[in-house]
Amino acid sequence: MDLTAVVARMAVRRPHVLVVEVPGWGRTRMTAERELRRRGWVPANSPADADILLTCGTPGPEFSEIVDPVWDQLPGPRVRIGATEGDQVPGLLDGSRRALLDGTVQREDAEARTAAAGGTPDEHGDMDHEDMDHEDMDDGDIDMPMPGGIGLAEGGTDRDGLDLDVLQVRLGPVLQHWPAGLVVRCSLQGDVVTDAAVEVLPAAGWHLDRTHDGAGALHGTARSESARYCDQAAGVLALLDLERLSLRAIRLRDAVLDDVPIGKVAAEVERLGERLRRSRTLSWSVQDLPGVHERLIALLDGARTALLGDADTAAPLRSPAAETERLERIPGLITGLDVAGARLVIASLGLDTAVVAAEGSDRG
Amino acid sequence: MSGYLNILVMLLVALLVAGCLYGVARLVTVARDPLTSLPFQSGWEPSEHALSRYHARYYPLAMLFLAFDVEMLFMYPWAVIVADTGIGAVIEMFVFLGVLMAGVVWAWREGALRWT
Amino acid sequence: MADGILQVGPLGTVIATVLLGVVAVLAAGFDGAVGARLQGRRALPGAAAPVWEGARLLRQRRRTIVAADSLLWRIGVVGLLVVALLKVAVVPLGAWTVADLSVGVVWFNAMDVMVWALVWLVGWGANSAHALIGGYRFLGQALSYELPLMFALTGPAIAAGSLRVGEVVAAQEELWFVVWMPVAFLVFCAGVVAFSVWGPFGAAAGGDIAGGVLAELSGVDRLLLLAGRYALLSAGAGFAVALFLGGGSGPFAPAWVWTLVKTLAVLAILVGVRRLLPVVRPDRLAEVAWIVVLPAVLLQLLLVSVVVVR
Repeated sequence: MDLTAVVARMAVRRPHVLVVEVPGWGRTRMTAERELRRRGWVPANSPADADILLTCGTPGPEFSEIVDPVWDQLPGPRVRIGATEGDQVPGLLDGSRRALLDGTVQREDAEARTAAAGGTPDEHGDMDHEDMDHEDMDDGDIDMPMPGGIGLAEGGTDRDGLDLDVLQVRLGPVLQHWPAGLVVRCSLQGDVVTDAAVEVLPAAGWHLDRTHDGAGALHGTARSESARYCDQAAGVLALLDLERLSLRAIRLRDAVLDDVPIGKVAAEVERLGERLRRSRTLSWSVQDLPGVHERLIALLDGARTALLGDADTAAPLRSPAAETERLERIPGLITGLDVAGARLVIASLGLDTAVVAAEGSDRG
Repeated sequence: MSGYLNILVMLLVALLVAGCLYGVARLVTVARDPLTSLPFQSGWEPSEHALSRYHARYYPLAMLFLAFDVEMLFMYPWAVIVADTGIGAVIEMFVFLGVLMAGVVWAWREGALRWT
Repeated sequence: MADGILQVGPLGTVIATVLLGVVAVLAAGFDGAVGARLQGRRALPGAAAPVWEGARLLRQRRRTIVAADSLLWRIGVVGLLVVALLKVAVVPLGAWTVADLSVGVVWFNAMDVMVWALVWLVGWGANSAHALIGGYRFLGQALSYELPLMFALTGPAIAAGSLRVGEVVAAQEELWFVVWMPVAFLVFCAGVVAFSVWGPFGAAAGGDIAGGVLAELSGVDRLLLLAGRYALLSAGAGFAVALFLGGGSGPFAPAWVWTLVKTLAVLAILVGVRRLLPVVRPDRLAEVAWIVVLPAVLLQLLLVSVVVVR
């Protein structure tokens, strides 16, 4: 047996998966994450880290245009899969592992990419060049070719009056522990957000997983709402790298979805909330970010109240208008913070981008 | 001197280990040439190169650090002789450190240790 | 010195390298096992994580970024492992050491300062916003951890009246330094975690910036950086044993066994700390490090020097 095959077999024991959630398919993503955890596979936090790109849901055209370049950034061996229903995931993952193992296909893929890259870099560069707004450039040297067709950062005065470069960096939609479809266009000086604008990329169709729960739709809605809150709390805790607590919130999320008796889960949720309320390390580490600790606890309160409400009636969804208003508060909240703080603030808001995206795709 | 000779050998061994890893990777990788990619920006194309004049918010702290760091130059030789020289050396050093620490407290009150 | 430190020949470097490799893989395996347990899987298969991960990254294609500063990037990527090995050169294993430098403690310090440059280079070289933020985050963090770490290192040197690691170990024959320098020991351990970009001090490779300095690395490059981190943790644990835990001293077993056992014990704690504490953003760290930890270490040093001159 040759070395390559032996290494390949070992290499596919623990693939890393970059999961992309389309607004409305949170439930599918949760099921996928759970399946990854069961298998001991690793959620990736960047394309460089990933072997498998898993898209949960059907992205709209704009969203697709974002996911395709991400796929181009996976180093390879690589596999791209898409799931709309949670129960597709195990089969898709099994198939991905086989595809990763297939050395011939993967080598061909790599060669094809090399060939494609060899043919087009100029064309690629020129295209970007036309897009650039030369008049805004400080350097003024239009004839100087920019490497890769990407411009240089421009200067801007920072809060201390220093002339420092500004980077335009978009956070989202492909980002771990991030609201589905959310895009925050940030102007960064260093890692400080000096300006921000928000949008949500919609799905291809109207799809809200919470009305999608099948027979027990109404019953499922209360549970789905609660699960979403738990999931969002887990995201904040994961950003803080509090792994144990984050996993606890995720277990609760899964228990809520698993039809575990409501009283039992609600008690557990309350216990976790109490733990977070009292945690000194937690409150110290977000002390400089007003509201984050409180909102994190509020997320768990939300999870509990959703369960304690009448299980037979639907938990009221947030109205798109209210949710849009919350989204529009983001720039004001994060301007002046660094990226780490901004991520924590955004995660703690518990945004329901699916409601906004659904409306957006309705209009479109 | 042979100590430093061994250090040199260690450096070579270390580079050899790294080289071997690259060699093994060449043997078993799916493609030997690296993939040329755009930097990851949540799926968007970067609008400018990331290499830029970065706003390091901690520059006042860096100044403070330098002052203290130079002090370390005295600390090491002092550590070797303090037991022989006696209490005088201790007093001198800690008065010096106390002065530096007073500077730190002043900088702290001026807000040099807070960035946000 | 009757039971002083013996410097081994050049071939000893190979043994030291293999040993560091084994210890680092054990550390990664331990982390994998703990992670698997936490997620409700069995620990033993989890412990194989470094093997699967190693194979995966060796097989994976490397990446380069448009207009990346490739040379500097690679220097940073390879550098962490190299620096870890250069640190281990002054860590005695029982009675043997690779390099018995008269300024061993300073050498270790010099090497850990190299990490500043290396981590920053990894962040800078990639020409990626996330990686760049990671690199600069590390510098911000280093400004806070380095001074306490340096002063913690001098504690044992003052007590031993020498910067030679072997003599620091010998000076602990009656009493391990950890007993009367607990603050220095804890601060040193925290420093090790910090220069290894690990756990609470891993903001430079944080999940909130897509892995930060790791964001654009794939294949063997990523493997080298991850291995370098574990190697730095291991080397730091080894040095903590030499400085504070009496080196190879212990009953019944040979000295080298004791060195290894103690090193693994310290390493397990350093690795495990990752799951216990939240990531400390560098701007949260600065005030604590300069206003609480630094004076605490200085008081520890004062105590040590007063004891020494009496």
